[in-house]
Amino acid sequence: MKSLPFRIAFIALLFLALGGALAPWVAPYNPDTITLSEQLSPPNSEHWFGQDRLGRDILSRWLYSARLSLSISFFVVLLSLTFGALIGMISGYRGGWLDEILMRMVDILLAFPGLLLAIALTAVMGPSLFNIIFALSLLGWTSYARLARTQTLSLKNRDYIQATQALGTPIRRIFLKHLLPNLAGPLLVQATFSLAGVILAESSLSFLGLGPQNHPTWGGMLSEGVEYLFRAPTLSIFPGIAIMASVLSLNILGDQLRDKLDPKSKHL
Amino acid sequence: MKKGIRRLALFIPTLWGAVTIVFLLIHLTPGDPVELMLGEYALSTDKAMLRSELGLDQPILAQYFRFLQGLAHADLGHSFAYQTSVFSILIERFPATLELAFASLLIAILIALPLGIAAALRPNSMQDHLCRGFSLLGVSMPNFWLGPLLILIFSIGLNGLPVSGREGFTSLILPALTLGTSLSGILSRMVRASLLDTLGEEYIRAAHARGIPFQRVILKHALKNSLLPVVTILGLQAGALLSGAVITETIFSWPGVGRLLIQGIQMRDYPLVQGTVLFFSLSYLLVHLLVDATIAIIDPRTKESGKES
Amino acid sequence: MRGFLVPILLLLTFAGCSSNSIPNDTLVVGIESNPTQLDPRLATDAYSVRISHLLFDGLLRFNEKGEAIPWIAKNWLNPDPLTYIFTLRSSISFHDGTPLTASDVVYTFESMKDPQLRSPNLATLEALDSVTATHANTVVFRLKEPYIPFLHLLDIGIVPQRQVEQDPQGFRKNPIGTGPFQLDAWKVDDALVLTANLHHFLISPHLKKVIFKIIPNDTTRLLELRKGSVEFVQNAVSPDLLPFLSRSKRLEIIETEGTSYSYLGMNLQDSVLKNLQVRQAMAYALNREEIVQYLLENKAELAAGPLAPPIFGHTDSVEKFFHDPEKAKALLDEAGYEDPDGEGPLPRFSLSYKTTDNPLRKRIAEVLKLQLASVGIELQVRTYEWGTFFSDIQKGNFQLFTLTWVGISEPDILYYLFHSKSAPPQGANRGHYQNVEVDALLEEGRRTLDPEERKKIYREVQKILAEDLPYISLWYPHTLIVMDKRIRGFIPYPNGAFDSFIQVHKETAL
Repeated sequence: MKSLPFRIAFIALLFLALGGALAPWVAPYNPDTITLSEQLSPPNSEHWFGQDRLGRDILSRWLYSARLSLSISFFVVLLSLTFGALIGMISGYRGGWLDEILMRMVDILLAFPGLLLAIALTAVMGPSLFNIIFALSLLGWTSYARLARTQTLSLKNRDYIQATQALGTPIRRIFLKHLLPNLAGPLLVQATFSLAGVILAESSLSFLGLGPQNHPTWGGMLSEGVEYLFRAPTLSIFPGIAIMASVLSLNILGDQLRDKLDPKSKHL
Repeated sequence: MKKGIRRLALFIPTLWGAVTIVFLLIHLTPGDPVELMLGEYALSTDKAMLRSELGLDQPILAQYFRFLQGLAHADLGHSFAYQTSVFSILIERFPATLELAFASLLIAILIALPLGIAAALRPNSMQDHLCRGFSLLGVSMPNFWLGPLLILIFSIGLNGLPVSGREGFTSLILPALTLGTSLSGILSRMVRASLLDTLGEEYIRAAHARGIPFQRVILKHALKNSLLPVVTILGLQAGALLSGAVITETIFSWPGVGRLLIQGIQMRDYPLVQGTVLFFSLSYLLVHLLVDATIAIIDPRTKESGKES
Repeated sequence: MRGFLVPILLLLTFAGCSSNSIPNDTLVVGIESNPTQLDPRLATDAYSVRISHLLFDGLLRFNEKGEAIPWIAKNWLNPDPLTYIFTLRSSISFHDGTPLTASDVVYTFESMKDPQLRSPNLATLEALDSVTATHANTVVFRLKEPYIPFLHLLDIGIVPQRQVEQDPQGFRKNPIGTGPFQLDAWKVDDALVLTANLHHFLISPHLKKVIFKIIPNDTTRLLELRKGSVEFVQNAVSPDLLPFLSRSKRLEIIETEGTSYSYLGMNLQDSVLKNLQVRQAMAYALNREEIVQYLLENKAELAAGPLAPPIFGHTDSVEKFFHDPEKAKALLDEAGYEDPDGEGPLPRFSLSYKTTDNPLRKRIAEVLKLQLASVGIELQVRTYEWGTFFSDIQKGNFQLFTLTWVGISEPDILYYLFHSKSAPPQGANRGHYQNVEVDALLEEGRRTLDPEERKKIYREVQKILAEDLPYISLWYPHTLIVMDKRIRGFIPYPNGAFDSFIQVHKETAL
């Protein structure tokens, strides 16, 4: 069942991702080249999206931002998914005091207003690319851990897992062969939604001045553009549209995936 | 009941964990509160004196124990910058944030319910897609962009509402709208999903077959039963709401707790940051507890097994 | 679904239509941050100082030209360089009705000398030996050594001894002064409401009310102005956005010379930067005109030294550096830093440059990086959140940074910036500049009574500084005021004081 919105979302994401991946080849200009005399030019035949405060080409920066924003998002989700799923499976499978400790850790992190932890962390460690990914991942893993734990709890009492356990199959094998395949669907759905969440979280950090330095991201471009909402609206419109389009598309994709992979779930 | 007591008992370790993390983070952050307080022209002897007065010259472990000791006596300490007790500042600011949070929830519900219902009535139709798309628009716009746009439209363009500040009911509308729309997306999706679930249930179909008007079926039976997951989601979103408040309060000059935290971090006002985070964590836990209690009341069948706390 | 949305939209459109009208005797001022301390003895941040200046009166006040005007003091004598005798006016009372006495004056200064109070003026009061009330309306100040800038301390507001001592906490929240305005309400991080003091001994303000509204976000502040719900801001709107405001017929933009000074600070203990030729080369490599034109919208003047034109002792006849990349390259070659690959990508050397996460500062950093790259110097830009940045700068943990000195009013600031004894933590000689001649001149400047002689001394200091280049001077930002056209009688002060709110009135709405 491939509906129209799904197709649009898929194409939009593909377009953004390709734009980012191919940025060094398709970007018309160097994104960092400053031409002060042409600052804040509106879109024209040479600069399709116009130029920013320093006369840099917005289209080129926009493409490079796609590269960075989407990769940040991807790595954050990858990291938190891997870590969270592992913790969740161990917690659910082992149970007992280990489960208790791990879940209390999750509680502590959840009781922490997420963005604030990210703010504090990036403030401590300095807003480098790596630190931002680290801080956002530190927040992200908890939801996967809970998801994986719940699923593991319901799976581990199934007969076939009990049977393999009785046969003395190593845990690693049980995890990889039996638990993970069953978890993959819900985790993937969750991952799609959090890709969108991370894009937004990164933009919030940028607004607070804690985004990655010396590299353009959509969030960074947008928060800079909002300053010029009146003088040069194009500065905020293009990165804004990119954020909206990717977040919307990822959500639509997530919905669609859920219907397919995880029809019974109510997880969001 | 037992579970409730267990939950309460777990409050303390959870809070302890949260404040310990924040204590370490803020003390590790480079930047010296004394230099930030005294400004450019201060003498070094002054700085040394202030440092010892604030206990900042002691080893970090000693400071930590002192902080915990204070907590045990329900003393959050004295703010460096405001020079009054952190507790009294929080009490002063809390109503503003609470007001904003409730108004945002209300707006989120007002947007999400109709959209969610409309979407669930004709699943996978154009109407469904439009409603879902529309409800997602709010989420997909960062608050720091949506806020100024709303001001531009409603305060400047239509000349209706105040731009910012907290003066009377009207000044609440725009910040609540900004925060509320970002919440409505996830909420309306939940309304739709759970409504679809209940609509598929036997008794609803039976009621429909008995000739009860469709609207009544929806409002009276289906909606009531799909409320449960919606309430759960509301609880889970409390954290997001508080985080969102940080930015929304800054944009709308709203004198709430979120802004206080940002200022605390900027000024390296250790007690203030610790107190605010403790406060955030506590309210998050309380909301959770409240949500669980509500669910227990709405649905006495709540299963004990497999449910995380 | 329509049933829900339509009422919301209606509500949004019509609610609060009346909120737009500010009464004619009220002025609403937009400020960026909450003042932290209104007690004049403790005020450090700019808004605290400016607002407390409306609530409290000093022995004297300085007008916009920097001339001292008798205020609480009727007159004063300076019989010798170490003695100041002030005669107070009679029948001055605090906002709560209690009369001001000479002992309040004595208390104000003595309490500031008590380190327990942590007054930011403690350092400058070092020179003060004693302050005594010799008569019901006479106060005598005795100095340990001649200290000419001393008079500048005497516009600090006088606080009521009894009220302060009885309830220090209460006084902090509800300061009681003698000033032309009194504090009506202080909603922290929200707004301060000042009302006119009808019983002031000298002047009664035309405005009945001044509201300071705290608006942290730049865009929001701008929108408030545009809507008319804020009528006055000073240096709180980025020059970038003035075109948007000038489109409004209701608003007026005033631009005057300021006393702030933006500079490029350097660590003179650094192995590369201790070389004078390198510093000179950098000064030649910078194209400050370009930055002022494109990033500051011409709202700043190129600077040749730390003292802006309105400040006593300012001079323009010092060595100046204008954009000359060729000369810069030649100087670098001469200094032994040849470019390894000519015009190629390899730099001669690389320097780290620290700045804050403020958007304008970040943009300036980008341009500086580009300009220095054109002569073969690589700049590694590091932006930090203010607290981290400021702490690094104060500790001397930097190679290059830019900052702006705000609120300079006396050439004696140079002692604090460049005297070898002012190295951190004693003062702000953060680059560790050392010059015996400058040290001697700066000490001399504090002692010299004759204004002309004093001017000469500071001119000499500025000349040497321009040769030694401990700082590279960038520009003096202008004071920028955006206000409602109906506001009459506002006089901009170079240091940004709000003092003229005392005389301001608003013309009746058309």
